[in-house]
Amino acid sequence: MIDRILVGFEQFIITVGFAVATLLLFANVVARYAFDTGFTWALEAVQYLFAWVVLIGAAHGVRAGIHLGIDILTIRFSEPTQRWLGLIALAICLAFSIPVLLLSIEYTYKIWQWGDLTLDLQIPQWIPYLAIPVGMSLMTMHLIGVGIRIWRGDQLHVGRSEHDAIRQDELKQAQQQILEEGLKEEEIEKKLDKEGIK
Amino acid sequence: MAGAFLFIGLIGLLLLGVPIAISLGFTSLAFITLATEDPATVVAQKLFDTMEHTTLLAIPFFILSSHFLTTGGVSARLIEFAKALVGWMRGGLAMAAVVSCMFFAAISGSSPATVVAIGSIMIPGMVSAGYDKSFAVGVIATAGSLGILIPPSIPMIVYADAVEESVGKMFVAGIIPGIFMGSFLLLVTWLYARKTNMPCEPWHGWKHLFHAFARAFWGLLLILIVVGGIYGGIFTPTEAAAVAAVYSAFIALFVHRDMGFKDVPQVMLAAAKMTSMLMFIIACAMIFAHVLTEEQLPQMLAAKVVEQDLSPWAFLLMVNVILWFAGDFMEPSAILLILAPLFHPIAISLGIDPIHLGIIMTTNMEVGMITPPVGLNLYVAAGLAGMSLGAVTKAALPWMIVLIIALLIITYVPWFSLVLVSILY
Repeated sequence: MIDRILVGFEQFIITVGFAVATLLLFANVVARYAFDTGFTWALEAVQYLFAWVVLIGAAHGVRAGIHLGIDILTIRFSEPTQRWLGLIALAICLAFSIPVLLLSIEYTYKIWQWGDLTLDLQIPQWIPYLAIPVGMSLMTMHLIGVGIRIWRGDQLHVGRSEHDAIRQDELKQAQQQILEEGLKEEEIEKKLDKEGIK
Repeated sequence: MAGAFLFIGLIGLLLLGVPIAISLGFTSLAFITLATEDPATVVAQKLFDTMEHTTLLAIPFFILSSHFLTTGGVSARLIEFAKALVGWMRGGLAMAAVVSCMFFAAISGSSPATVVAIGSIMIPGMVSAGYDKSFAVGVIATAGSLGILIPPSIPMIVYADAVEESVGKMFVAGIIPGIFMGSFLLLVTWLYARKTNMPCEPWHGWKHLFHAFARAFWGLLLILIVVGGIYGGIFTPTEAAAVAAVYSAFIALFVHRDMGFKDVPQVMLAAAKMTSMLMFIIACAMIFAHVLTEEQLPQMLAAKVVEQDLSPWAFLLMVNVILWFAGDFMEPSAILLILAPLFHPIAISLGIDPIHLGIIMTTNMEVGMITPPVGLNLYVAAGLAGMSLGAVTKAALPWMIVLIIALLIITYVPWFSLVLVSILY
């Protein structure tokens, strides 16, 4: 349940954040040429949006298993050994995410105390920086979740090997596309035939 | 000494199966805490600072643009055009596959994306037309690697950011080596096709060619928008990427109508995931590169190499060999961020043009894409064709030699990389 809410929240942030950033930068170019005005804050806003998208997305990536890793060595071991290696690798990930979480809280707190505003947007500077502690705490939670799954034997690695990472998302899309395109090609041919007759 | 510790630690973690990004981040964090007096908050700060590199922000938009182009049916139309253009020659479908990869490379910045976009249609197509499966896979995996050499290109953006060169210059410099590499692959394919007497498609006449061009036109126009827009000073590379993303979405939704609005969130989410994965690696590689710079490693290495009195010729060979090994373990962007600042000062002191060095590094990453054990293109192609990785590796092996020959030519004939830059800038 909590897991589902978290995943929904993460997916919402990264999708909407990405869309808004794209449109903002595009609008800025259009404004500059078509209306001879630009908004100087657009670039800054895009940078901060991406800080949120990337840090939340990286956390979400742990859950979705999209982080690239290398498995040329580990796959040579038996499955129980692989699980142990997976747990060691996971411990190292936690030994990264937890200290960085603590450091980023310290850092963001300092920025909050200074009370500076950002250069162009004039919003409190701690708002964009909050992305690091939020992202890192989500990442830590997901890492623990993955740890439990490895412990139970549902999963072997922390990330996915390059192999799986691509197979999961893209290949499904690609395969679907082959089917759709096959159909579409026929349609296009038909259309062309009609045009030719005319 | 410190450098050795860093690199050994990094390779150890990578082999243990720790994700690439966290391997980089953890090694740097451990080093900063244990071996330096710097406050460790710099790690948190660097994670954030990466997003403030405006040039790097072009990467997400090019990723988004690729996603829209593939889902929106632009790749299918490019393939049709390529077939009409060269399909009538000996080994026609293979030739068309290479040309399609060149087209798609010119509108997207990534190699695996090119393999997926072209390979998902062309591999089944070639196999059903009677081509040898391993040949089809080898051609696509190799030609797909052109994705990073023909601009726009994600590794070129990363290189330009790492050594503070202009992205526009890098893109312009990549055009001739990219076309050269593509033509070289076409030549090899054609010779091989003639030798083994491969089938060819019928010639459908000029009218058909024109129709195919008209349908592919909207996709091809993107090449002009991106490279022309950046070179003409209409927008920055980052803005060009955002315009490309919106443009791709527009033609996918309104011109080709191969996808509807209901598909947009799916595409956005897939692109956002890919972006986060790649940008997180880049952010962690930035922390690693920061540690190296703080330790004065680039300077020390440069001094050592200058002491050795290495000739530029030998230095470039060394660069290629190191990159080739590194390419077996890591993601191109991370490699460029870490190694480019090391090689850049040496190259300058040896009188090698930094833009030329960037093209060499990018071309080398291309070879790494089809080199086992971690060639990303091999994995993608293996998945698409439903072949084992071993079989795909074997299929790509002769192609790897072809790419290495082309790499050596590009390395030792700087004319390819520099002529357009010197004319245009």
